[in-house]
Amino acid sequence: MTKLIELKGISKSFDGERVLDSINLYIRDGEFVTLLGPSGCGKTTMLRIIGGFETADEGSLYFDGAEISEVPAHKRHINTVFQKYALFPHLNVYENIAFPLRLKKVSKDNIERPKRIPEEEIKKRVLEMLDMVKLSGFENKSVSTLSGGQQQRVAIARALISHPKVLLLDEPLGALDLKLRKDMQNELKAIQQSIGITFIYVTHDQEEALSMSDTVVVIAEGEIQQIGTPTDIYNEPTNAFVADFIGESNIVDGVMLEDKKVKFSGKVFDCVDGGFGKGEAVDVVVRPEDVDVVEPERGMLVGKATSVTFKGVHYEIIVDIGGFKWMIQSTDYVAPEQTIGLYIEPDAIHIMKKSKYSGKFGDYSSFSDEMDKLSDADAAEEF
Amino acid sequence: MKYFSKIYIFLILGILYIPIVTLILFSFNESSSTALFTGFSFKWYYELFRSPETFEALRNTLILAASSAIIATVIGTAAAEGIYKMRNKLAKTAITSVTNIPMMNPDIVTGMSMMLFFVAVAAILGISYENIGFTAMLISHVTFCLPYVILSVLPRINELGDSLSEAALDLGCTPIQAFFKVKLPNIMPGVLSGMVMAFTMSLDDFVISYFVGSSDFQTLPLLIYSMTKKQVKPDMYALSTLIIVTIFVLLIITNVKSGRKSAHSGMGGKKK
Repeated sequence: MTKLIELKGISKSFDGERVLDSINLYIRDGEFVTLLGPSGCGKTTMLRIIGGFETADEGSLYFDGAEISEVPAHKRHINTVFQKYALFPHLNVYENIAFPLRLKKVSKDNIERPKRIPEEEIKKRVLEMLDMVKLSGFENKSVSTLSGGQQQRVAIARALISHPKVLLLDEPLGALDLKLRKDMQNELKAIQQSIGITFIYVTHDQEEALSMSDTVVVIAEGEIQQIGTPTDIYNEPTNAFVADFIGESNIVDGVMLEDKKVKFSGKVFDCVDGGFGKGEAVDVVVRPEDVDVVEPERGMLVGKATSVTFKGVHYEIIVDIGGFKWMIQSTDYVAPEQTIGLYIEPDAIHIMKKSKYSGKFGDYSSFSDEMDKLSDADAAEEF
Repeated sequence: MKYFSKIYIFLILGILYIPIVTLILFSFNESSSTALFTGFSFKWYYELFRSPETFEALRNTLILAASSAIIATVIGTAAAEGIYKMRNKLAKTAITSVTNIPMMNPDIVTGMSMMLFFVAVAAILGISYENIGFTAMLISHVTFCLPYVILSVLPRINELGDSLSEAALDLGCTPIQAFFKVKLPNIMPGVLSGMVMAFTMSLDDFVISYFVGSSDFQTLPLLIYSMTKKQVKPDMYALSTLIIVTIFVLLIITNVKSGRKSAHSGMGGKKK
């Protein structure tokens, strides 16, 4: 797969505030890439730079090997599905989707003068698109009478009808309810696979990112934190921010004694990572679902359960171990205030180098506060 | 209490409409008396349609109102779009206030300054003021209509925002196409109401026209005024009645139309 889009040293500031800080990233042809990060991390700005709605202060943007930093939006083979759909209210569904085709003039051979696309062809392609997004029969409806999900589909059809090489999607499912969102996730993925073009998808929803993408780009504070497949990102986060943002994580301070031996919470554990210096301070990540609850005498760590919440599939247990609160997800019931042992397999322990995010995440002592903060961030408007 | 509110509304309506009703009534009076209704007749209407002077003034007024409304709408819409696109906040505020001055200015000041200006221009160009009568009138009418157009278009543009234009650009429109194919249709209600406002302002204007106008280009308000110097003949009542009826019909049409539209877009209000 070839590099279709490449960002080299892209930086952007708004009113003196640096939103993107020398971003380097390439996106391959036919890939489903998700830009994932909390609100205000710069992911939408990145998308708008690729789409041509913002120009970068520094750095350059390449498309198919050619620099397009200065090419205006309407000349790029990139189309966008906007956050609020941006359908044209003065046109019906059919005309909204046909809109890009009506602008185009094509010449069959290069000798002939470019002509408008004939009406029959427009009709054929619009109906095909409507069929693809499952809106056949909606041609003559006014867009304002459609539901959010239907408007979304029209926006997708409109963006895809002129066969762009890249489709940008700016939190397209943000306004839909949960059930509809799941359906649309599957559908979007299916559409992407059937037409085989590159999708660049912006979201703050980590679950959405993991389930749809080939590649996830985690962004925070205008910098790329990690690029990788969903499995890599989840299993081998590079720093405390990624570990915390993707899923739930217990992140504790540790010291590497030697390769595959790490000490944390006063105990020495076997692990599978190496390549760190002897005695190097590290962040240790343990996913809540990777911890087994055992009898206190068999436990590698022992602590008291301070809160137990039933979550349906499992119980969420907060355990106090030497003052540090761990989150454990277990299908076994544990009574609050009960002393339990924890057992951790070597491959459940992931070691990360210290970063500027160390110590900021991964402690569940203020669990409820953190939940509030997260839901606030979800609700906050992305700029 | 209920009686009181009923009496109150009739009182208000009475104060508003009794003079107009009197005018309409007397336009059908047989004699030219302003005190006694001597009998019903269409005499003054007949008289009105026989007077070439009145007819020409009416024609002039309509031509002037239509052309100044159209020109003001084009310039005003372009100006509103320009103001919207301005990045510098200070300059934006400054320009907006400056464009509002012709509206705040007393007509008499605007009229006098316009007259001085055109007299000077005519003198510099070495032509008689009579020859630029229509042009001078048109320019001054466009000038005082302009703020009303901007005032009615700018909020629409602000409300619409950038998202639709960006979508149009994204789908392959040039910036010009994006404006005409997407933005303009969506701000049309504002543009049209600006145009109607400009039309009526021009139709209605007396003070500025009085200063700027020359004897070869008479508008209806000027004509009526010049006639009152002698004596108001009931054919002017007839003319006023016709104008009132026209405005009344126009009002009903626009109200019915917008009423239908808002009933129709009840669903549209929710989408975002």
